[in-house]
Amino acid sequence: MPGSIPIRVQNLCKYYQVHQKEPGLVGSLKSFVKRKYADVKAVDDVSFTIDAGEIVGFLGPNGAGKTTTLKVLAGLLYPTNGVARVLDFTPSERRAAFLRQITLVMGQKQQLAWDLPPMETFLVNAAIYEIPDDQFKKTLAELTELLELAPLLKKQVRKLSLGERMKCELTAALLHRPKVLFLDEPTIGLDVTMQTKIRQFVAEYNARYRATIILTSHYMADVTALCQRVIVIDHGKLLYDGDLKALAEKIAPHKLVRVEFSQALDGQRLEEFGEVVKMRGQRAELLVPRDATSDVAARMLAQLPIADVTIEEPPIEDVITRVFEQAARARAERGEAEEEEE
Amino acid sequence: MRYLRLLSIFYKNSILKELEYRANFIANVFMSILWLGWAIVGVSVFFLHRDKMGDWTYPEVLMVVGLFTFFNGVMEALLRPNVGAVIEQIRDGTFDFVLTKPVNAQFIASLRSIIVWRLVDAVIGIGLIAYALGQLRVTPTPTQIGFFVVMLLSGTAIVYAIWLVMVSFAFWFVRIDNITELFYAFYEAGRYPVTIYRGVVRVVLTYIVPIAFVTTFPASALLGRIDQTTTLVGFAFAIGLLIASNRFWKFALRYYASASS
Amino acid sequence: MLTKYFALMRRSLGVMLEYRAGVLIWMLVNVMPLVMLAVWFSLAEDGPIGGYAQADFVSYYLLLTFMRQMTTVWVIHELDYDIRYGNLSIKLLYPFNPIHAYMSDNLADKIIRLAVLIPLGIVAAFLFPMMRYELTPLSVALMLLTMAAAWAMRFLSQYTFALLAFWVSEAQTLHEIWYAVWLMLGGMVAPLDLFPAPVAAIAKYLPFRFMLSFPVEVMLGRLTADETLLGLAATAFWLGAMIVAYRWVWRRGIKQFSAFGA
Repeated sequence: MPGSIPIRVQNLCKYYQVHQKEPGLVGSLKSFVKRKYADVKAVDDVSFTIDAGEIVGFLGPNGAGKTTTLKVLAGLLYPTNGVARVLDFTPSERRAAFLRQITLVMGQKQQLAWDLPPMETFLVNAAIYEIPDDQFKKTLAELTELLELAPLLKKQVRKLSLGERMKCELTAALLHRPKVLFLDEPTIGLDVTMQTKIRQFVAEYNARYRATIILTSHYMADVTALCQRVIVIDHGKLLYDGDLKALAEKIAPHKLVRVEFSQALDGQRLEEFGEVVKMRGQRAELLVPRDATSDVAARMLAQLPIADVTIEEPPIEDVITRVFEQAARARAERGEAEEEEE
Repeated sequence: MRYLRLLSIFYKNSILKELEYRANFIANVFMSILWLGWAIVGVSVFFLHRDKMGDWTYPEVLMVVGLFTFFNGVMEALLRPNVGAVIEQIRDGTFDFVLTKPVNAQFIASLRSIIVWRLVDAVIGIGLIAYALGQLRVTPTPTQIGFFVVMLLSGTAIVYAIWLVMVSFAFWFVRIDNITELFYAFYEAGRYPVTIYRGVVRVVLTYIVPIAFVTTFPASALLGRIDQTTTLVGFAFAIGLLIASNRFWKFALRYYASASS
Repeated sequence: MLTKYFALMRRSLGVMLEYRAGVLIWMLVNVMPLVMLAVWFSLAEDGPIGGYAQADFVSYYLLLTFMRQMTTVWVIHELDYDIRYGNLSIKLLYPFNPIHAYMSDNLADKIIRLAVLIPLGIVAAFLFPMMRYELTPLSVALMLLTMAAAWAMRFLSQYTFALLAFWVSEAQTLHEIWYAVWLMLGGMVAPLDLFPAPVAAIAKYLPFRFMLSFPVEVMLGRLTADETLLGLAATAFWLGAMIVAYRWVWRRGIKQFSAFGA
């Protein structure tokens, strides 16, 4: 039953025309008279589906196509090619019934009226989304409690801190209880405590309303805390779609073994157990092939003066970096590297 | 009905916002009077040397100046903060929030705010029209007033349609924040009755940048200088432009690129 | 300093050429002299008005259009914004007075305008053969000199008004008053000769005339030698006064800025 799948994307493409110019004044003059354009493939043949209630993290470097995909799904951009369906609507038609069920939160843009208290924007949105009075009161009360908004409601927006403003942005975006949330860098620029609060809130909202959520973030902590599943995009192409843990297993063939010794020893002997990444005093970190970890750990315990040992997945940032490095290498092999340079 | 309710909330918010900057009110009144002075000087210099401009007497020309001032107020109060602000919103990407609302985007973009202080110009303009009528010792007939109102509404619709089209270009060319200034430059020509212009200029001001419909024609209506047919043509022209501008806006929306950050 | 100017202008030119639509629109925005020309030209159909025949209006307003283009200044918007949003701090880090950065930006724009206006001027000369100017080396030299002075006065006065943003938030509104008076008394609405005698007599000595119409008057050959000399003296006087005013306001403003920040 296709109706139960809120987000379906098939062979989605979005190209932009970008004008190019040679450097220097001569280049400027040339491009003033006649412009050269080139297609930039912001999203290039991407397909995926997302089930109701899922939280999916979009990962990728700047300009990878994450935000563009998000904006196509929110109906802001017309796709160049391919199909995007959200809640069985075509987003770019921007039907009212569709828009009433989604929301878009952008960490770098704000919809709150700068000179007025946030409450005024909430009331405007209540009218725009035709939220009945009692439901508005109830939702606002819930959000106020979850986000600790009470002291902020009557302050002017320009007098709020960045974190406080983000909380109010979220509230303004969620008053109509959307079923699908597009969160684009919602924690950008916030301090760690506030990031954690926003994260907890998103998780809570997802649990309470079974909302489908797509999240992009530069903070891996956001993604690891909230998303089981990630979609990795680079240069407009989908590189990986699946479980976050499985990604680590697939990409990083090693695990990280941390050991603490009860007495000093020389590094030479350690090399035979794995690749030594760090060695300081009586502590060391080694990369050990995934399949061999338990074996190696046992041998180490037997042969070395060990005080403590832990086995971990390598940091997810490193895994992701590795994914993009591999992709870049693959592109280079296909001879696509020069294309970028132009 | 729902749209009326939205409108009242929009305007309430705008007024609240304006109250934050009360000093602007006095500044605006002062500037309105100054610009009115500039407009009157512009025609008075001529009447030092002649007693008729085309076939318009001084008080009749003052009526055109009154309409010029009136529409200036309307544009500043209603168009510049709304349609005019769309260009900026496109540039910084906050237009996203207009598009993700389940309300007609053109409605939000056109009517979200109002700068009440600027309506001072509109009031002064009407005052000047009344003064000119007093000088002429003319009381317009109900028919003339009717034609006048139709022409005034048509003029408003025409100006709005022109702004909407201008702003729509920003979906392709993000850096044309000055395009509305261009309109103001042409609008200056509307301080004089369009009949004084000759040849190409007159055609341009009547049909291409139809400023004649905004200032000259309503004044003519009040003076009993235009008939039913002209009024109807003006009205039809306004409706046509409204429809065309709406089409163009919708077409342009497809090219929205949504600037990030 | 000159190399810095060239470097700054190069960059500004690059930026402007990038946004070609914007640049062309800005040029079109300054059509007010042409609007006024259309008005007076039509009105003078039945014979000269106050000593100006149709041909005189064409000569006057076409050259005034050129003056308007070449003395266009928009620094009030930039500087007012920079002061209020704290961007000025960045420019204060330059190893020279920031006024040079704004000035070179404006001069770069003048290069583009010249490149567009010169061909247009040639076309206009063919289209309107009735244009009459006093084309002597001296009058042309005087026009160029007074045009440069007009640009400098426009720039300095706007810049000084913008500096008021150190103290008040309505710097642009205050400038708008100045601007409106400039439009009225600078010879835009009508050549000053057409104003009532008492008004014209006063306006002849106010700074506004020297910020727009004086170079045109020089070229029209309507001024006596005495009037021209007097005009040059007045230009020098007002330009000097504006330099002094700018320096004074700048010094106090910077003190204010560093004391309270922005």
